[in-house]
Amino acid sequence: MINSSPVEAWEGAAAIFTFAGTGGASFWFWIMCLLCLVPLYVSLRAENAVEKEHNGK
Amino acid sequence: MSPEELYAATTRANMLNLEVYYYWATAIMILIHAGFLMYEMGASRVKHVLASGTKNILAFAFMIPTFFMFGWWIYLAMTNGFIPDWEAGAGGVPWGDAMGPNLADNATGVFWGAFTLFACTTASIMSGSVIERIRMASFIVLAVLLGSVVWNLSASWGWHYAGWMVTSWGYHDMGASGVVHMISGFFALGVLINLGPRVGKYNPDGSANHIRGHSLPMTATGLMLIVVGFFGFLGACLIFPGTELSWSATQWANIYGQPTTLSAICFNTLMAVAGGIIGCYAMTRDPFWMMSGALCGVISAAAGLDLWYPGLSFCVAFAGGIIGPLSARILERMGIDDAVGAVSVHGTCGIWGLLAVGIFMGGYPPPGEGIPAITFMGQFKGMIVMFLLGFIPGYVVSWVFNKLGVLRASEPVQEAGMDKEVNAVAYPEEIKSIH
Repeated sequence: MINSSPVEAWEGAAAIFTFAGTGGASFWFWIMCLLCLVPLYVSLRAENAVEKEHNGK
Repeated sequence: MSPEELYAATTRANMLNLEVYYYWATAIMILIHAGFLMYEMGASRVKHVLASGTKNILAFAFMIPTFFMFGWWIYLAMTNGFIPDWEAGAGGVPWGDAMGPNLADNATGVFWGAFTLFACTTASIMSGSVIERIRMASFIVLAVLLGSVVWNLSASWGWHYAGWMVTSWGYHDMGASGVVHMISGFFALGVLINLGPRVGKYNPDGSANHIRGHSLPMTATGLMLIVVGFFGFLGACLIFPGTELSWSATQWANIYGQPTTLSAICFNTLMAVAGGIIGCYAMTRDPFWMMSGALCGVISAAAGLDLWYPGLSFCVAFAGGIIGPLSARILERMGIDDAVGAVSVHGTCGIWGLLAVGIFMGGYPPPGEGIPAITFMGQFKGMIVMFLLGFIPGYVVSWVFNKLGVLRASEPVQEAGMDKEVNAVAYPEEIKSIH
């Protein structure tokens, strides 16, 4: 289990999200960016295949 | 005005705001039902459309009185397991002072309303998976069992500050990945095993046919309505601040009493919707699954919506968008005909949602003294309980109905169309099913 809590008590806490204030948040930010590219690649590949099928290229 | 008078006036104003908040959250939640209605009718063939719609609307209608009769009482009284806490349940006794118009109680009606709509959601989840062959009376009994008994038990155990799964294991399920979605998904699985597939779903060699619904645009629009309704659902999972019923004078709290904000839910719900859609699209490029991906995403992230980093909420939801369709393929190969993928979207993604909290959310302070912090084992054991609590009643009661011959419509009726049983025609201009 990954210890991702930025707080030890709820009293006075501010940013409580997982990995707040650590490199973990940036890590997941960049993973998110990479994941957004996956469907672009998938669509390009599928559309190219359809183009090829219909244009005979 | 004295400080005491000012305090009393503020608390009173907050109570009225609480009432307004849950009243409108309940209204927004009805959109989940409108969405499921469109979703199921669109996923049905022309000859079954109105039977699917009627079934869905009746589930909604039956859930309301049965939740009044015993559902709310079960939620309040059963926090210890199967032995009722009569004192805690007193506020839910249907003939009690709290269960009707009462000028000294602005809260019970709106809390009851919100929980009733949660119950309607559980019944709707099951309803889509069994379309085109389940018989109406059996479906209604199963829906009432799920929405007004089984779900209430799971919520009392794992979605209540005094629930035994919370106080014993530190079970954390803020947005109901387990207590609503797993319960409904695996209840549906239990029913589907006894109900069997639609006529024409499987070939003699065991291979499956894809049965297309009559209107994918209707299904896709329904799914978007469900997403809107989820904002009411997830907003109603929070406790309003500043009243005598609140956890805090100044801050929102989750159902366990840990502080959170509506902003947290907004960040993470939107990111989860997007992550699920994009994940499912990348996996399938199928418009039906892409929209179901929104549900896969929200359900996967739901248990931890109060605490996720939004980027991680997106990633967890993206994984849910992969897991949902994969699970549906496996179930189809196993001979389970789940017409809309409800077992996978709600059940399997619900498992992932609970375990994701167990994997990523170590170290958070517990909600109160004597309550354990979140652990992987706590979430894992909670997942097992949710699976069994959903699956066993669905399987056993549908098995009995099957033996009595009242569960499944006969082949000739299925072939003629279930709309024959509701004596109505969805599209009088002779639009017909092609198979």
